[in-house]
Amino acid sequence: MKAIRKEFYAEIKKTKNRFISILIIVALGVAIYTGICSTEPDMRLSADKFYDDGNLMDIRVMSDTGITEALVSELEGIDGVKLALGSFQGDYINRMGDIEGVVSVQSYTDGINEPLLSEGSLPESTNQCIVEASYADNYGLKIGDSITLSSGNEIPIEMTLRENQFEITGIYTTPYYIGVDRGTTSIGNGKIDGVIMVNGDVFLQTVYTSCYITVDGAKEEEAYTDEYSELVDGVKEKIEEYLESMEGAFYVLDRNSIQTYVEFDQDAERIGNIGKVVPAIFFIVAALVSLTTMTRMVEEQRTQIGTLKALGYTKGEAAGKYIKYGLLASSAGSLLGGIIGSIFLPRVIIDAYKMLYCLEDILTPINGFYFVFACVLAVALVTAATIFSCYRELMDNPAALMRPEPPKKTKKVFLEYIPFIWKRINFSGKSTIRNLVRYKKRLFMTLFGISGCMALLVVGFGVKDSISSVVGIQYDELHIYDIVLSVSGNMSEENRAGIEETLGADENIRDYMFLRNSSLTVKKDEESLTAYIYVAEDTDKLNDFIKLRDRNTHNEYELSDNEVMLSEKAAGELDVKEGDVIALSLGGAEEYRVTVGKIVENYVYHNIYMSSSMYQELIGDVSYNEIIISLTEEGKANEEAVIEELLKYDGVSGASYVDKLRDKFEDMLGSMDVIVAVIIIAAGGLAFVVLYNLNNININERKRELATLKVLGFYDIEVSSYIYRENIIITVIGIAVGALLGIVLHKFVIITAEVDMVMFGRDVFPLSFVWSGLLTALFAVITNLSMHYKMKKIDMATSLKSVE
Amino acid sequence: MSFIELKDVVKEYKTGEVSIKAVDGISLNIEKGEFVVIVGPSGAGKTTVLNILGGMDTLTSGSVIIDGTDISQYNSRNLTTYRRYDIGFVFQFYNLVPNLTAKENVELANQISKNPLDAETVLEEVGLKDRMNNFPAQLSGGEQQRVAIARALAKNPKMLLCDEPTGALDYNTGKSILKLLQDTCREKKMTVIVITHNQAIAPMADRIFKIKNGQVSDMKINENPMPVEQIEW
Repeated sequence: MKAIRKEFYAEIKKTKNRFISILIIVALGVAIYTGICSTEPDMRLSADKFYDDGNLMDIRVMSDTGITEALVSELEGIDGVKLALGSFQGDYINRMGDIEGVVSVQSYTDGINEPLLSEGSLPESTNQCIVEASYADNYGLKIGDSITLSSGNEIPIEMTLRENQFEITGIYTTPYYIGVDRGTTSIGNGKIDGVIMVNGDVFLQTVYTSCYITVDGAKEEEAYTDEYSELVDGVKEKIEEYLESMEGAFYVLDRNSIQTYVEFDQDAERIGNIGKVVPAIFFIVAALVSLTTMTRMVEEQRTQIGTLKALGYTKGEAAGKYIKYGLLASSAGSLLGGIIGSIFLPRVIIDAYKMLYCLEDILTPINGFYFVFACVLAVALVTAATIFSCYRELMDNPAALMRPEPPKKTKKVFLEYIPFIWKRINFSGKSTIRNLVRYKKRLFMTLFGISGCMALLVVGFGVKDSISSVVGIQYDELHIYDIVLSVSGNMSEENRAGIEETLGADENIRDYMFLRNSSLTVKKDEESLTAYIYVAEDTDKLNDFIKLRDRNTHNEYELSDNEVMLSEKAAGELDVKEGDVIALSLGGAEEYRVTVGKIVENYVYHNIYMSSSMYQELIGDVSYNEIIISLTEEGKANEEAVIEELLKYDGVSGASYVDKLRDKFEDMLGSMDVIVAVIIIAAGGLAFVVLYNLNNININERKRELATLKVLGFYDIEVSSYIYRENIIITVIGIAVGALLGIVLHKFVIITAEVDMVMFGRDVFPLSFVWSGLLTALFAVITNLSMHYKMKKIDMATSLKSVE
Repeated sequence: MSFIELKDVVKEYKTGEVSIKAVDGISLNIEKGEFVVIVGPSGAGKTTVLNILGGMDTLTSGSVIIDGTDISQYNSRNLTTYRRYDIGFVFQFYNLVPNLTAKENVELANQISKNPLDAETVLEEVGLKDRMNNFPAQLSGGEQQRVAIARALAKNPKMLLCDEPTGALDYNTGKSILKLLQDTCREKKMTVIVITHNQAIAPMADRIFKIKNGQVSDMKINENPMPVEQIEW
């Protein structure tokens, strides 16, 4: 067997391009598969690390009447409870210059839901606080700054807090808020902007708002696993049992009550879903590339197989070389791809997701299951393809194998039976068409490779388009106002008249409108979600500020007095169709049933639009809490001055610029570039490997034909273009097919990857098709050019003399 | 001056340290319109001579003058042009493009020539009037070789170079192909050079070269070449 082994290594050396191309395509497939699939567990793992670092609560107990110190210690006594801590919380208005927002003030709990300080130190006295990082970032807060709070309802702040001014001593993150959303509140505009943490004795209440509990052994379990849930559920039941005997209503909640905790899990799952489809393209291509490459290799070596069989080697021994070849190339590729894929790809993807989540560390260990699964799958596919390609040759008897392969029969192609068309095609056109039909396998493989590349590129660029639609369409076409002024709902007539006078007189202001904008819960059947309701004082003017239109037809709708309009994403989540009835809940016990007249285009958050008279009739007096303003072109230039003027009025509590929101989203987009780049590299790799391989096989198979052309006196460029003509046609068809494939794949990826609060655009921009097409064509051109030199090197004399 | 003049042609192949002289100083003259047979055992260098003559290979030293032009210093592009307009090749294994019909194979050559002959006429002349629209796989070996000859002729070249044109054919078919070549030479005044290891066909030629170990060992001018029908082997 020594001679055979020697021959085997010599073969690899001789055909290193072939070996490497199998290796690369396998590596690509395995890398993409393990990479995207590992992202799901890696996201959870990274989150778990964060949860553990901050000792995220496992259970939270709340009661309408509060939680007494005594109850906390009793809860701690329950079997399975590791630690129970009481916590104070309250929502207050924070005014910083022009801007007013709602902050949730929470007491520091040592051991559960701990703040992870990124800078500074914990508060030591009652007039100090720490601020969570995203709030500090958004509002430019630094250590040493101070925050002044005021009450958002009728209870004066002195009744609930010892101090109302706090000096910032530190900036922190907390696993309790892994996402962007901080929840809703009954004060201000209904939305919590940020969280600050103070010492417990700042609060004047005698009972805790809630009790945080950690469970024995839960920290050691990984979050989101069944093991974790079982452990916590057991303790949760015991707590519930214990509380049943008590007076008053208690709520025992687990981590699933934390919205962002659940959302994070869902997002991880979404990525995992993408991982189950997109890599399939690479696996199929890897299998096909191996199939054609190995088939060609076996065909080239018919005689050698025949010789071995004639010498008395068994079929298995004769085929062994090829199987070993495929095995070696695919295992090397799998290992390489698996390692790169499971370490780097999840990092890139999670990094891009980081704009939505705050994670301390990203953990990307090699995920055993996906790694092994992908490797085994890839090696099995390549080996199966190899065995399949050997099979036919091995079945022939040695004598037949030693003879040259009989030429393949050529048939007339379909078009030839239509003389009307066939006659009109020139000579080279005819031969091109026949060649395409003759080498069907190659035609389809190449088509598959090119359309796969094109489709991936369309997805890559399309994902970016979809997200940029959010910014572009939402803020340029739908919400076409520039400033949102927060005003007090119970402003005096006098005050209002003053503001209106200023607004009307200011030349910078094109138009303005009073608006009610607050959050509420929308329900249909068992499903519910949080949405913002928009009620314009002057319903007829609504469309001047907020376009209510159909996404596809762009037909604009007028709001009627007996129906509401719901944003598209919300309608999708709740499975609401036009004409369906939904229930609205404003926080109280009462639910209002309304009919959805139209479903309208909207990308950010869930919105519901209602006319003011309908609101009046259904819910009651509308208290307008916002003035939305659109500016003239000059006005946009001196936005700041306009706002400063308006903020002087009592009752105007803050202003925000739509442009700032827009900028925030654009920053988000920047991080998507990485994902697009990864996709482009993967698509390029795919295109190169497939095209290089198939072109190589094509040229080897047709060496004789090409040598004949050379002998006849075809110049090098004419010989190349003889092959190029076929490739150009395949490339053009491939790009067209890939564009269609890409549209479908893009839609799938977008719908799967979408986060709850945002609807990504559904369309790929025309320019993206152009770029994808150009890049695909570029990849094709590069491979074709490299083939030119290969064709140039074909030696006429040897190619023509031999029998093949 | 002769139509074709080879002077001290040497072709040396170097692989690492070893160098082999496939052609070791061959000189030969051929006149226009002659039917030439070059015979020799395999490995003697006759194919190399033909390749050099046909512009498929370059030479190490010496000169090759065709119709007054020295092609020995031609670069690859010039050699292609030379093959394109001046040379018609016929090979042992026909080398037809499998995907093109007989007629289309001829047209393939036609489309790049300066004064091509009509494809159908040439095919008719080689006796393939009824097989024009067949693909190579549907033709017998002899028929395929006729297509190859038609393809070479249709280019209207200065000379026809044939490398073992009957090597893959049976006795009778081989003979008919040789007759076609001989008739073409006589009727069209075409210079035809045939390479063979078969000594027996030498009498049909106007001029015979014997090649051995890369050198011309013998040259004979045949005043009365025999029609191929009368030759037996």
